[in-house]
Amino acid sequence: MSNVKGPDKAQNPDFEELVAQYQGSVLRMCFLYLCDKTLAEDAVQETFVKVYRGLNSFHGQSSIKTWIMKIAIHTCYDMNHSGWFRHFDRRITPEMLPEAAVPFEERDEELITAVMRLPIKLREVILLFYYQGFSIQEIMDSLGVSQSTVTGRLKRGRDKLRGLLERRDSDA
Amino acid sequence: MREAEEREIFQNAVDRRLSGLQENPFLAQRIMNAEKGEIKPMKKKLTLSMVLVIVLLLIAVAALAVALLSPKEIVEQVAVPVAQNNDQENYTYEELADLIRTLNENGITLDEGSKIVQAFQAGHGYWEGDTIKEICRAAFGEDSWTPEQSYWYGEMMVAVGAWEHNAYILPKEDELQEEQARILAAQILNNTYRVNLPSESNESWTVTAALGFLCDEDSETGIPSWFINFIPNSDDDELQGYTVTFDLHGENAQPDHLVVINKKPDEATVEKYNEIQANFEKEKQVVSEYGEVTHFWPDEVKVEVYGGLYGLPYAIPEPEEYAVALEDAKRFITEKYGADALEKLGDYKVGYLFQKLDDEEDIETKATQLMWDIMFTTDPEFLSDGYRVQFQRVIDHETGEENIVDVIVEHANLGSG
Repeated sequence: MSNVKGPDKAQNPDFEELVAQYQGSVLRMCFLYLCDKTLAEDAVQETFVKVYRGLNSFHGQSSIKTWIMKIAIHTCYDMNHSGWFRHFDRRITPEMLPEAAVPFEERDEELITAVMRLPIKLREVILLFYYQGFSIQEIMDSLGVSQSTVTGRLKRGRDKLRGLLERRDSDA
Repeated sequence: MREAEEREIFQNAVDRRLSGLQENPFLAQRIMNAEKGEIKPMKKKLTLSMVLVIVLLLIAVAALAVALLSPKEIVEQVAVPVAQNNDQENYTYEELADLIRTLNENGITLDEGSKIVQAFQAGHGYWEGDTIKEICRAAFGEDSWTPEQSYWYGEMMVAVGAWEHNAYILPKEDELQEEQARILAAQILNNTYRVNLPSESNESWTVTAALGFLCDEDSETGIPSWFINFIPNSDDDELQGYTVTFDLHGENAQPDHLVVINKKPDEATVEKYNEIQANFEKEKQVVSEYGEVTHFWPDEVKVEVYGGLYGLPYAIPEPEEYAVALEDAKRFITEKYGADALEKLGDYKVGYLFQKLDDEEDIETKATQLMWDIMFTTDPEFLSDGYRVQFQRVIDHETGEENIVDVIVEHANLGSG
């Protein structure tokens, strides 16, 4: 992605490509982080505004995906600590999940709700590691925490999801 | 390999189940136009939750004109009645949610880092006693509660069944009140040590007064007493502090010098302090990696931290030793909490601490002592349920006889009460 163009250009086709490529993934991650559809949509919008404004200063120190997800996770973190968010009733039930557009299995839903019930610090590490495929080093860089913190949280998060991450016949 | 599989399972589950989340096909274009100033920036939408919050806040503001409930009123009118009406020792998730909502509506925010808020956010309930303690901390501060606040807190703990007796006391009308106790204390110490102590704190002295129970071999609960300390406000090591204890009628006074922490430590003390500090840092590192509940740390880590750093006789048990201890612990739980206690707990995990003392020179009994502390819980992170069993198996070296002593069986929550 060395040819990413920023907002100083007259046309920004690559920005549109980025949005098209990563919007869905960012949206689902933000939903899992914030446990609210509308807040997640706001977080996506804010993330890509920051991406658009920051494209000129992105010099490829990490992959573009890592950079975007890092912005997304920080945006969610800020929203999570805003005054509004504190007032939300965050009890997690399967009913609060949006209707699926494709067939899914009961255990998909079990995994999603289990992830959403994780304490936020475990949840963000789990999302980056399992959903975004980040390495431990990338998570350390994204969250600004030590290796032992990442691996400790990952272990505790994984323990809590035990049984839900095992391969089933339908996954084969 | 396992990680790659798990990632694939995770990603497939999320992408399938959340496939209904609608992407905005015009997002990129709108952002670019907004940034160029061609259209107004998008406004954030108000969710139904936000609207409800606004309505609730408006109602709350309107109600503010009438009266907000104080933390004490919330504990007395909500927390305690709910606790008394359920037949368990912890609030359910729903009860905890209602309680936290009531607190928020009345302008009281619990510490986000507290275990109760974390347990709530993770979808758990929490122990009634600890919940009430947390509300009191939010209301009265972390420590230095007044005797009245402490006494009221103790009454609430008794009311919800977390304590059998109130651990705090207040003087009755015909007993010494705090001011009288301070004056009497200064008189006793001035007469005893020929000094000139004030009854209230001043530039030279800090005077503290506390009520408590003085340990006494003939009394099961101790003697209700005043503890008055006089601490010099100076770095001068030569200055001496004083203390006196007497009962609530001013009798049985026990004046003494007060051991004041040396404000200018010597080299050996500094060295010891640094060693303790280094151990503390090491432990903090382990806690961040494996969690706060030591029972669930890997055996090697327990031995390294508590054996290596603190010299405690932590050991890795033999499989047979562990199997026997596990059965003993289960038996103790069923004896105290019923035959189906563990079954009702569901899919629990077991963690333990194990110490082994068998050095004849170190113990008087000439026996091997196996000290067990075993935790059964479905929630090793917050200990929101489950049981804890502590006991010692003593094996006599001469006769080979085995005895189990010092058995304690309680709920897993370490901080309860």
